[in-house]
Amino acid sequence: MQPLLKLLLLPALLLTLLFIAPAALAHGSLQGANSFYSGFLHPLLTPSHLLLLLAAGLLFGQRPDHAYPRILSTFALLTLLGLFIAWFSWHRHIELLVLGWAAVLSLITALCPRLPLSLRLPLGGLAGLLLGLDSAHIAAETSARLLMFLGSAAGILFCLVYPLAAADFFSRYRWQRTGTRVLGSWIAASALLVLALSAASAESL
Amino acid sequence: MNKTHWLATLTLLLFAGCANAHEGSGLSGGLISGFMHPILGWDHVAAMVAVGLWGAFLGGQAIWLLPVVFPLIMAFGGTLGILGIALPAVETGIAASALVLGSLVALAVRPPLWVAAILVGAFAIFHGHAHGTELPGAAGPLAYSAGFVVATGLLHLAGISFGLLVRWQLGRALVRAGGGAIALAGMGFLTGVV
Repeated sequence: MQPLLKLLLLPALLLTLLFIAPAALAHGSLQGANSFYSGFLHPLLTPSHLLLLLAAGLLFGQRPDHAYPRILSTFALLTLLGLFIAWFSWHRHIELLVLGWAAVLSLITALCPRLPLSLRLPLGGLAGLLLGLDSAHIAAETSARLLMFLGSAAGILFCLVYPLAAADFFSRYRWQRTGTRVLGSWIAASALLVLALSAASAESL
Repeated sequence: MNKTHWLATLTLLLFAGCANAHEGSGLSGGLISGFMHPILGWDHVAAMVAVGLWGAFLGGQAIWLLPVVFPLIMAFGGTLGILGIALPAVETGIAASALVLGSLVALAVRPPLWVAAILVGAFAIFHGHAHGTELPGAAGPLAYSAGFVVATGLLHLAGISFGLLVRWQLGRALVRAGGGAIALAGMGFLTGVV
């Protein structure tokens, strides 16, 4: 596994333990920490976000090419941009775009495993933008809202590390790379089905 | 296992607690009921295993192409089911998939890859339609769809694992016998005996 991923994986795991453990959820030790927890947990508790993060992580890690600093920084910047825009406005149909983009990225993972970084970077980076856009938070106080947004940014980035590291780790043997492609097809199928369901529900209203 | 692996395992165990906290509702309920849907239908199980088996039997690119094509086309069939677009003889198509795919393995048929993909895709529509008609009523649609897609993939994997025995002579005979058993089961589903 790439050294950068190893470097990120351990703090990601430690932070996950810290924020996910039930005792930590009961009370925040810092003022406003509950707001940060809420934001951090938002991508974890939103199935469509998890699906897109999984798709993006597999796309990035499927073909290890030592560009993880660039990938993670691009993804982080676009996520922050999305969150910044969501601070001022939010559209309820963004989730459909999240699902649709999860389907697109996972289809690419399944069918085009040799896509160059120059294409994977913007395609995967757009996932960060959409996740940021769909992470609008409402809070009475501006400071609480800011903490929620920061928590979301951290949660999104840390959630990306897991599938990215897994895809990188399981890229050594052909059967592992095959498994990643098959997983991509599963994600695409799930996302497409829910999109169809959303379309059907919208038509019936 | 190094320290990172142990830490990852511990983290997953923490998630396990949350997953057990709720039963039969919301995210976990949808995931479980979706996961069980293909598994509780023997006709689904037989056909899914046959897809993996045939892929492994054909070898080469088929070993990944067929398990990739199937869920994608299944999603298309599921979409038809969700939108209420009727498909004729869905259950017959599902039963026929076990019969046909099992027979192809038993008879060691090796068509071109594109033919195999089209055949598998054609049957996937029926399976997807059957799952898709139940999706709107599911507790958590995304979790339900993820559940049955994962279950389908795992059944493919079971077929592939068994199919890898073809590298040995006795294994080839066993795999073809397995295909024959699936074909017989398909015949049973079609005639209503099973």
